[in-house]
Amino acid sequence: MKEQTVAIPLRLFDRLKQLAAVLESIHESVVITDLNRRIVYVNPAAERMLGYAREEMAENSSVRFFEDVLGNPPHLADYVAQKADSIGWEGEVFNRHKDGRIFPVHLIVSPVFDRAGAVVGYVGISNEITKLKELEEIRRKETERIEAEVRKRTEELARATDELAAQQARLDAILSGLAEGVVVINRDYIVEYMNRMLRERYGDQVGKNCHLAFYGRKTPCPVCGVKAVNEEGKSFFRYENVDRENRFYEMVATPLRDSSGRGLVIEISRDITERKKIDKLVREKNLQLTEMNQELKKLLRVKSEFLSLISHELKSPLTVVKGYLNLLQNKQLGSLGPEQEEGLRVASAEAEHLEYLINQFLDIAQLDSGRYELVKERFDVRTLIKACLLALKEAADKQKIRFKVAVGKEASHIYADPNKIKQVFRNLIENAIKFSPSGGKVVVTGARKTGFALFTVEDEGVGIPPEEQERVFERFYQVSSPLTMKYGGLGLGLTIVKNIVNLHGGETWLQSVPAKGTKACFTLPLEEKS
Amino acid sequence: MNDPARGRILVVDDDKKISDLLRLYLQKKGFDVEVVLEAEEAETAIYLQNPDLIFLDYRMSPLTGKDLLERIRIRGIETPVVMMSAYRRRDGDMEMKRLGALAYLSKPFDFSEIDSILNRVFPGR
Repeated sequence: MKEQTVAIPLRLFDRLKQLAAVLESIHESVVITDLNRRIVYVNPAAERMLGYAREEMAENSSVRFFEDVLGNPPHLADYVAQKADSIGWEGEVFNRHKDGRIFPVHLIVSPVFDRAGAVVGYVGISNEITKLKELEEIRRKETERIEAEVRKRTEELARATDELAAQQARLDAILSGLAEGVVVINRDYIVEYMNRMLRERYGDQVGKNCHLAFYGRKTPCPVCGVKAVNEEGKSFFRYENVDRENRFYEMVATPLRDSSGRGLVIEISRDITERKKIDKLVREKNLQLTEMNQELKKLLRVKSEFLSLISHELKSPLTVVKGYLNLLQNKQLGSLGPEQEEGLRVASAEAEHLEYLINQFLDIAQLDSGRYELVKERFDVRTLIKACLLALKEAADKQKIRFKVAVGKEASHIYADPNKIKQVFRNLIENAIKFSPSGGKVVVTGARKTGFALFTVEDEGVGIPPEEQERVFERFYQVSSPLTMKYGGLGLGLTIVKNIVNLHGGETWLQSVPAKGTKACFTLPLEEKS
Repeated sequence: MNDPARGRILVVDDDKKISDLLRLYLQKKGFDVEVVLEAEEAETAIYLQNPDLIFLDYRMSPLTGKDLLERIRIRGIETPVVMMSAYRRRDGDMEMKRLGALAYLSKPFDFSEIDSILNRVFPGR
């Protein structure tokens, strides 16, 4: 094609020269092609970028420089041209340098219009973006690395959080297994943790004020564990408190230092409402018992004084009666005729009997009062039995009773209250005499068994019917027999025997065969020699 | 006339009938007997008459037989004393001996016991 020369006005020429200067000096590569993509103009920047001189590039297809370059899609130029036809095209493509190097560029292709608006060519402005790309790559790699780091950290954090949650759950489970309530409160009286027990009772009060949540108070409780630990610096504070439902708790507050040293307080509470109720009941019962005890003591005192009085009042006149009867009988108040002697004998016997009854009555009353204490000593029971027999000699002789005493040496030394044991023997021997036939034999035995001594008083009397054998020990019980009628009595003899023997820790019982005889038995524990 | 008395006995009991009975019995036995119905009076009588034996009732008031016995013993009066009581004290013997009484006599009286006491205090007389 031949170059054509055109006449241009000077103004326009200057303008063109300016434009040309601009194009010649900018760093961006400018390539202008015709419709067929044949290069019409390249600026120095383009020359530098592509490594070709403009003469080498003139008339060549731009296609050479970016079509079929590794990295570009095929027919890129067509595509670009198509696009450029409409509004222009901007993108990144690869170019080939003269030395064969392939490099990325940022390309803007715009259509060139003539005055009529028809496209007469293309202008492509491009920048090598190798460095940019490199930077992008570095940044991308860096970003990837950072993202990987972040992911890793995030995973670690997630794991740690899970672990923490698991531990928390474990701790909560342990604390919730307790029957006690556990609460953690901070210095501002805000609840930071409650175990299940407390949650169930009060609902979830975490984050709420403790004195309001648990006690319905607007101000801290008068006795407050949180205050004691935080303000008074106590390392351990035990106290009692009452909640809104009137349940009593025993509280223990201790400081709980977390890693930030925040001064939390952990309070463990135990419900002592039932215990307090029981305590109260116990106290009341105790009071009752103490009162009853006082009453009893008073009654016993009164009874004791009463007995003493009765004793005196009954026995004093009897003393006088017996005294004078004695004087009379002994003829110290004058001589006596047979009738008077007989009268006096009867009166005297009755006076004796009266004394006997009074003594029995007083005995049982005294034993009853329970204040009775045995005055124990070591003594020979054989001496005692002899004394009894002597005392009962008169009654025995009347019945012509023969006595036999067979008390083994090992059973003879006992540790007991001699006065009371005397009474036992006396009562039993008296009964034996009472119920023996004339000329009958009464046998008193004593033998040592393991740990105790066994004593018996046996007679050959009428015996006691089986159905009455248990009952004879009852107070006031008398065997139904004409002999009982004859002798009278209060029916207390055996009761007293049983009472005394029991007090000593022994047992009493009877063996009896009606019409054959009765054997009264009792045991006394043998005390070890101290 | 009377034989010389076997001895002098003081009976202290606020029950006049019992005191009289005892006096009668003891007189028949040949003793000089004084009866006093109150413990305070008895103290004076003891100092004035210096009896050989005293029968003393335990239960009197305001001063009991026990109190009186303590008092005379503290003053060094060694006269034998027989304590009498209607209330059968189980440890009566022991306590009486501790207080310085010769014997303990329960009521109603066992006259044979009285006799043996008399024989002890006035042997051979």
